[in-house]
Amino acid sequence: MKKLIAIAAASMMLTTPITAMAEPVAFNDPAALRPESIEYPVQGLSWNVTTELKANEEYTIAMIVKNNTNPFMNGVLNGFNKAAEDIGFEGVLLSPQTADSNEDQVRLVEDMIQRGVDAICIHPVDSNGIVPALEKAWDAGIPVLVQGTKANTDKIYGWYGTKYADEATLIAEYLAEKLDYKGNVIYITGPQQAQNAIDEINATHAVFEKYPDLNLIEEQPGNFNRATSMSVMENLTQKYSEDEIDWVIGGNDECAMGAIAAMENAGWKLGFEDGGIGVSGIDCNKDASYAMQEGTLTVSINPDPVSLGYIGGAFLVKYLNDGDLFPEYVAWPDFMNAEDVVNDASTIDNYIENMAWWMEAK
Amino acid sequence: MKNKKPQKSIIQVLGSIEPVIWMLAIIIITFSFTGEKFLSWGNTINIIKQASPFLILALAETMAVLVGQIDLSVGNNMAFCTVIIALLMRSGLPVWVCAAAGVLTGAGCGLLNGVFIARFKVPAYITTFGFGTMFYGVGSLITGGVSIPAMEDHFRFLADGSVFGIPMVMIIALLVFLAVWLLVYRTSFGRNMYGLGGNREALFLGGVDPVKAEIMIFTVIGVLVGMAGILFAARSASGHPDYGKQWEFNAIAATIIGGNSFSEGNGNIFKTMLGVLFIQILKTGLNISGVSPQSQSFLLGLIVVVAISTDVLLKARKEA
Repeated sequence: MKKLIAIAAASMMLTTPITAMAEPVAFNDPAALRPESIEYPVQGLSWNVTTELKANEEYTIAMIVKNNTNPFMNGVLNGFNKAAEDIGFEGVLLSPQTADSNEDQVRLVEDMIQRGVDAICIHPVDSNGIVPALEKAWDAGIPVLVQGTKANTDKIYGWYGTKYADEATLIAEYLAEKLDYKGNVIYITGPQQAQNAIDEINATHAVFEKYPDLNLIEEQPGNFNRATSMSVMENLTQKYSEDEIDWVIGGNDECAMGAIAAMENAGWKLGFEDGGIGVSGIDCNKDASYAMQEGTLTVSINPDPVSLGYIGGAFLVKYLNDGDLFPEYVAWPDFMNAEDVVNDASTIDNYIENMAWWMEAK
Repeated sequence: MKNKKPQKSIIQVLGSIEPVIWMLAIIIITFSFTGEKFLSWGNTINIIKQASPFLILALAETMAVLVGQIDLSVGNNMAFCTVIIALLMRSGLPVWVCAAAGVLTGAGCGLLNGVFIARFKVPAYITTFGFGTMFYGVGSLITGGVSIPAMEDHFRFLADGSVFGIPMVMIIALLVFLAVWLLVYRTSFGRNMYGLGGNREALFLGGVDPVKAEIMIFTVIGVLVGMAGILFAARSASGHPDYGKQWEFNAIAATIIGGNSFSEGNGNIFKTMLGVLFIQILKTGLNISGVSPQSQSFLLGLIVVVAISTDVLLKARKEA
């Protein structure tokens, strides 16, 4: 009997620290340490995104975006809605009543704290302005996962989103290969004081430095705006002749579409596959997708807001289920699988048919 | 001097209750069913905190409406004040200096409006729209479109702190409300204001310079806008020219829903307070009830239109 008690006591002593260690630490516990990495709880992209994850309890999770007029934001909401259905939680979809209003977003977070939601995913309008609201949620013990725009506070569960530098790298490598690592390139960039544009420009430069025969002969801001980009490119069609240019990079699809309009008006031959000038964009938005089908736009990248919204819900359910902590930053989509996100003439029909994020929810 | 009031029947008393009170009752009852925790103490405090800076801005707009004008610059000017406050705070100045500078900035914007409207007779909607857009532009130029952090703890206390359980922001808003009440109902400033809204001739014959009086009123509006700017900046711990987006319309809506009227030169600041509460409760209630963002904008617009037309129709009936 004594032996039995001794063995039981010993095994208890042995197992106690183990179970104590396995006990999850709350995200806002001072002892909580951010892990190096986290497993993606979902597979696939866009409308094909799926997960095996199921909610252990009836969670209520809010998704707060910047506005409901930008198709990208609606893609995020649609993706989050799909996650709520697949995973089995109550999804509350919210956006400021005044588009892109920080004050309205602050109010939404405060109202969700009052409602007592289990978690919040938010795409902030402003990095600084949202901080007090996020810190209130932290104090109330509600995990907040920040999407896209960085929030300037550590008091959040986590931060994830598109890595703009990776998008630009993929595009630059794509065109380098297509041009056989030589040729003259024009770059119509985003606004040069905006962080995402700066990230893209630096990443593009890094690729060009690798290939000495590939020349970036002109770089001008088109401010992610079609009209601005068009007038920039109109000036450049006066400065250069058609034969001098091999490729035009658009900082996003709007820049690319503006450049295409200017070159078409100047009578330049487009359509890279037919021996014309190559044009690249980023975003795979609606106009750009159809331009790729026509052949005027050569390539673009799908930033995939649908799976971005979807994985936000999945990450939060994973925390609520198991207490998994979140790294400093997690990039999504996973650009390691370039063929899934880069779209050109070879994939565009399938993309428009099955993947396009700007389509209504399927 | 004592006035003997005639006795009123219950129906007359009920009929004389402002429509906004009925509407408030209706939405509170509705949301208590649709929104879980809508009627909690925590949410009451939440609504009061959100309504307080809004109240100050709406008081500013009410003053413009009471003199028969409209101020389309309160949102943008308020946001410009948040930029100035945040900039000074970043340069290391003490919180009270930054706050005072915010109020002065607001007063300066108001003074400019006043001079152009009263002295140069430029219509108020053009003047205020113009200056509001201009200050939005100046704010954007200064900041480059990027928000400026103002994370100083004492400053944030104004928005998030509380004294004996009462939110600091509510104390400030009530003090401002009291000050405006004294100004409007206990000084010649207030009499001039109602005079300007009603009968300018009589005011002039009474020896008051209407131009000076109107410039003064727009300057006070600017002071209030600056005070609202302090609270808006504290709530966001930052300054940005976008922070005032569409707030002039919220302020106008609150003023009118409360039962004040553009045309009559009468109305009062208590009505504005009810209008502010109505809009704030409506917004929070829709959020807590989980109404979709697209439907929220539609419902908000619809309810505002219904509320204002009910008010107008009831008034027309009373007069008939």
